[in-house]
Amino acid sequence: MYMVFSNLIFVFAYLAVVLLIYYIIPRKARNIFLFFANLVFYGWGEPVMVFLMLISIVINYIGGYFVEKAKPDKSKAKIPLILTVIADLGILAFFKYSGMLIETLNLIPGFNIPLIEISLPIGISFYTFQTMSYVIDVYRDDAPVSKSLINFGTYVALFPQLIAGPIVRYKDVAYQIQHRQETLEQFNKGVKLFLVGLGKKVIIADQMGAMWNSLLSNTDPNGILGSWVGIAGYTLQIYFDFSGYSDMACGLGNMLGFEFLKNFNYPYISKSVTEFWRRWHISLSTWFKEYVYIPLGGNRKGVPRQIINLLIVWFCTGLWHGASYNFIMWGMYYGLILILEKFVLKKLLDKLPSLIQHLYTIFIFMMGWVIFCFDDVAEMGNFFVSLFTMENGIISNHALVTVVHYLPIILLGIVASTPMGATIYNKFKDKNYIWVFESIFCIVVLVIVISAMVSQSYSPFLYFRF
Amino acid sequence: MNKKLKYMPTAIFLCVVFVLTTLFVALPKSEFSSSEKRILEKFPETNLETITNGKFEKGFENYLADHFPFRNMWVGINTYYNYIIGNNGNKGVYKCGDDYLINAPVSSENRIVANSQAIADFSKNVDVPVTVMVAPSTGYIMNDKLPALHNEYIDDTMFENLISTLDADNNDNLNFVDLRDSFKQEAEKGTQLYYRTDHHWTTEGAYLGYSQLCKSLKIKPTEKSDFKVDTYGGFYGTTYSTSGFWLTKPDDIQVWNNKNHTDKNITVTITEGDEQEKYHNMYFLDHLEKDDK
Repeated sequence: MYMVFSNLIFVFAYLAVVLLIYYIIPRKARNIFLFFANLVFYGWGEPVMVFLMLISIVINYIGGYFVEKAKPDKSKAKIPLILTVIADLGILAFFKYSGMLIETLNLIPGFNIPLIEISLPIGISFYTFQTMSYVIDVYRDDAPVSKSLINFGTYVALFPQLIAGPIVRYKDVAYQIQHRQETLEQFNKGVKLFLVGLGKKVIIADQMGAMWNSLLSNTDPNGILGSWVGIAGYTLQIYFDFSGYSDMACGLGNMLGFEFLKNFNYPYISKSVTEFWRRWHISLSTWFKEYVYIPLGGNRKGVPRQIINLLIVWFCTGLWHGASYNFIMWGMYYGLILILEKFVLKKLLDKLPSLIQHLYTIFIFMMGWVIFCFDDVAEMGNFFVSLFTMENGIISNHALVTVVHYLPIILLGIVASTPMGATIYNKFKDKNYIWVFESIFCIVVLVIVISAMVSQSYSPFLYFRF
Repeated sequence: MNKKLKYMPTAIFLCVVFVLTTLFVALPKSEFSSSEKRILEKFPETNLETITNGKFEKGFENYLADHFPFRNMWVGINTYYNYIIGNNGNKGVYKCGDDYLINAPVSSENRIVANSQAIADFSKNVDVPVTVMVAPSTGYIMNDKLPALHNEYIDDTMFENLISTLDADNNDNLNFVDLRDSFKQEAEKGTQLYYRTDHHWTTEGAYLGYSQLCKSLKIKPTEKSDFKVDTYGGFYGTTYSTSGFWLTKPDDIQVWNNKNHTDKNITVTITEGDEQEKYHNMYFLDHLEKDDK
C-alpha cells in the first residue's frame, strides 16, 4: 500500500524521520536528502515503479538539456521537445491506458488482443504532467533549464505533491528549489495547513465515504431521499478528500520551505459551472489551458474552432481522471455545459437570483459526480433512476439510520465547504490570543485523527460465530 | 503578549509526532492483545526480497499499528468520539440503555437458508429424532434497551425462513424449538437473559433454553432450586472488546452447580484424537482467574 498522509506510518515514522534529518543537515545537503526521501516515500508502496519514475526524470532532464542547447533555433529545438513529449505520453498511455485501449480494440470484430495486466503506478498522471510542463516551459522560455539532475529529480518527485497533486509547474518552483529559506514562520503556517487538510480527510471525507459505502452496499433500495443524501455524501467526500490532500501537500511543502499554489478555492459556492472550474483542481485546469487549449488556438481562431478546442480539452480532462469511459463522459458533460454557458446561458444566469444560480450549479456538479463515481454505466443509470423516481419510497429504514448517524458530519461538511470558517479566522488572526484557538484546534484535530487512524487497525478476532 | 506563543501549533505538532514516535520505538512490545484475542504483529523480515516485493513495508505498517503507544486508549477515544457525534454503532456495537452493549443486526445476506437446508437434509439421512433450537439475538429480545435509531433486527424473518425450510418436507423426525416468545416474556419480567458486554446468553438464559428444550423433548428439567449459584464479577465479553466502550461496567458470570452432583458421581471425558482426559466438571473453573473469562 503506497504511503498516504493520513496513515500512522507517514506521520509517525516517515515524517518524523524526514523532518528531523532535514533540519539537522546543512542547507546545501537538503535537496539531495529530499531526493532520496522522495524515493523512499514513493518506493514504499511501489518498490519497482521507482525505476520508472527515475527513467522518466532522466528522459525529461535530457530532453530539457537538448531543447535548451538547440534553442535560439526554435524549429531545431522542436525535435527534442516532441520526442520527449511523445516519450512521456507513451509511458502514460502504456501504463495507464493500455487496458482500456485493448478492450476497445477488441470490440472491433476480428481483433482479439490478449489483455496484459499492468498495474497503474501511483502518481504517474501527476508526475508525467509535471515533467511535460518542464520541457514545454523550457522550450517556450518560460522556465530556466535545470542544471542539476538532483534538483530536477527533487522537483519531479517531491513527496508532498507526488501522489495527488497539486500539479506544480517547474517555473513556479525553479527558484525555490535552489534558493528557498526555511523559516519558523513558514513552518508554523505549514503545520496549521497540514492539520486542516488532515482534519478534512479523516474527520469529514473518510466518514462521508463510509456513509456512501454503507448506502451503496445496502441490498435493499435506499429510497429517493436515501439516494440524494448518498450522492451528497459522495460530493462532500470527494471535495474534502481531494482538497484535504492538497492542503496537506501545501502544508508539508511549507514545512520544507516551499510555497505551492492553492488548488481549490471553495468550489461548491460557485454560481456557475464556469466559476466552478476556476475553483476546482485549479492546477489541472491551468495545465490544460496552458498546454492544450492555448496551443490549439484557444479562442483566437473563431467560434467553431473554439468549440472544438474546448471539446478536445474536456475530452482529455475527463480521460486524465481515469482509464474508463465514464470519465470521458464526465469530461464531455462539463465540456458541453461550459460551451452552453459561455455562448447561451451566461447572460440568462446572470439575471437570475443568486439562490437559483447556486442551486443550478450544485445540481450540475452533483449530477457530474454520479457520472464520475460509477464506472459501470448500467449501475450509473440505475442510480440516476433512483434519484428521480419514488418507486422505492422516500427512505428505507437502513438508509434513514445511516443518514442520521452521519448527519452532524454532513452538516459540518456543508459549512466547511464555504469560506465561513476562513472569514472568521481572518478577522481574529492578528489578535494576541489567536494562538489559544489555533492550539486548541491543533490538539483536537490531532486527537481525533490519531484515534481514528489507530482504530482502523483494531480488529478483534472474537469467536463471534460461536 | 509573548511573540513566541504564536508558534504553539509548531510546538504541539512536533511534540506529538516526536514523543509518540519515540515511545513507539522505546516501549516494550507486547505479544498478545487480550482485548482483540490475537497475536500482535512481529517486526517484519528485513531483506532485499521483502523490501522489493512490498512485504516488508506492509509488515512494518502492521507492526507500527499493532504496537502504537496507548493503542487501546486511542480506540476508546475514537469510539466515544463517534458516539458523541451521533454515530452510535460505528464499530458494529450499539451502546444501549442500562449499560448494555449490543451487536448491530446481521445483514440480510447470510447463510440461514443454506444452513437450514443442511439440517433438513441431515435429518432425512439419520434414524434418530433431530431437534433444532436457535438462540434469538440480544438486540431482538432486549429491544427496549436499544438506542432510538438502530438497524432492524431480522430475527423474525430468519426464524420464519428456518421454520418453513424445516417444515417443508413434513418430516416427523424434525422438531423445532422456538424460543422467541418464552424469551420475550422472561425478559419482560426483568430476568437478565443476555450478558451486557457479550453476545452470549447468561446462565439464566441458558437455563431458559434448557427448560424449553426439555419441555419439547418431554423430559423433566432439573428445578432451579436444585442449583447453587456462585457469582463471579469483572467479566468483559465480546461486545465490550469489539466496541471500544471501555468505560462500561463489567458483567457477572453465574456458575450454576447442581447440588446433587459431586466429584464422586460426575465424570466428563474429553476425547481428542487418541487421547482421553477425565474431569469432574463441565466448566474449567480456573479460567475465572484469567483475563479471558
